[in-house]
Amino acid sequence: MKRDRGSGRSERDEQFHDFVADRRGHLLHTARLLTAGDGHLAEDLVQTALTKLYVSWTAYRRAANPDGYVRRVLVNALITERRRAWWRFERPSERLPERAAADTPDGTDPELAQALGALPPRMRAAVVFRFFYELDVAETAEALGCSTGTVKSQTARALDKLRAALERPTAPRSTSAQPTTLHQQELTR
Amino acid sequence: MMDLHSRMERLGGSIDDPSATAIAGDLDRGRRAVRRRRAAQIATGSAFSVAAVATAFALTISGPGNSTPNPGLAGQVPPGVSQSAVTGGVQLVAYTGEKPGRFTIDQVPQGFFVQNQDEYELVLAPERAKSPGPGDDPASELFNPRVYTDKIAVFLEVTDFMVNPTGDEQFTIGDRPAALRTIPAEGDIAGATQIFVAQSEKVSLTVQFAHSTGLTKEQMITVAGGIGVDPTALSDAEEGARTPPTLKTGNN
Repeated sequence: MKRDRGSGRSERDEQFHDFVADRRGHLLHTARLLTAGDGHLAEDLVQTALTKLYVSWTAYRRAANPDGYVRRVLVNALITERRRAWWRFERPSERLPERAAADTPDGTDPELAQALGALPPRMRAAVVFRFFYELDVAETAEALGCSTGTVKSQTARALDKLRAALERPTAPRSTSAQPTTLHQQELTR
Repeated sequence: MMDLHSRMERLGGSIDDPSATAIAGDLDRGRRAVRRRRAAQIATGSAFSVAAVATAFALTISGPGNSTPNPGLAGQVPPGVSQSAVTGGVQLVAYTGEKPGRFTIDQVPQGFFVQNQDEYELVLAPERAKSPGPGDDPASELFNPRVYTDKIAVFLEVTDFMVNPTGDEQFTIGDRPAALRTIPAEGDIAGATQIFVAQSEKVSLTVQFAHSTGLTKEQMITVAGGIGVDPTALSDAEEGARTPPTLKTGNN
């Protein structure tokens, strides 16, 4: 792979380096939720999003809502992950990307991972941002690139589906976690 | 009883500081991506212009293909662009080479040829990229068909994934919404111009011109407007935009 000609870092490099050092862990945490606990896909997602972010660093720096900008990039990467190799410059690498040592929470909650994984990506993102990160409707709509009405309906439907999935009896050997009943308060806020 | 919020927090895993290797990898990927998108040497533009005009361009017969060119633009100047404006330092000529697999081309800068075409992209390069001369470095970006330095790159993107699909200027090409985005030079990375031409609600044709090509804005619009997208390519991209991602179970 070709190397950059420049010997030193540009101002953008420095800013990006600081951003990654500060935010990568949080992005990976969010990405794991967006991918229903798939640590490898989450790492791919973060790498893709960070690459996009670097390319458009000036736009990110100028964004009125930088956090919202990052969320949008992450969601877009999620939505287009599957077929991305077809049209994007980024091509699959023969070498596996570097993995953090403990980036896969395998087995922590397979029922929840399965329930989240059964949701369509946008619906999953809606519940992650709205319910877990407690973003308001407008912020979530910005991240998803949809209307506030869609966010409300997607979040409600997602929570209904999660509730239904998690309230099913748990298979005896799958986990020690007890079946969970979601509080109505959680579902309606 | 563990509530959903707590379970999601656990599922998200611990928030650890990234390793230096991970940060360096992110930075390296970003820089490589920028380098693909931008030309390396603005200064070579004028030199290229001279070389392009002086070089004979062998043309072969074009097949009709089954592509869908942008309406009303085959070999024409887009509305609002004067013919005189199209005649800049670099001349546009009709492309009569072999039809690229997934695209059709009406006009190219004189001396440009199809350096690379695959299911991902189409790369048009200047004549001098055909083979290294006595003083050329064969390993330079010019001779790498997957690097866009000094070249014109054509590819499809899903608009959801585009950070700035509306560009800096909006206009229409034929009856299609289009936009132009200027990527300024920064540091040792030269600038480029991207023209987006909507192909559908979700798919955009992106044509990227390295600034070193020396084309005027009007010429770039003419070239972009004359590129047609194969229906199969468009339907594949549409399918990609519709199909939700599936979760991986392995490392690839």
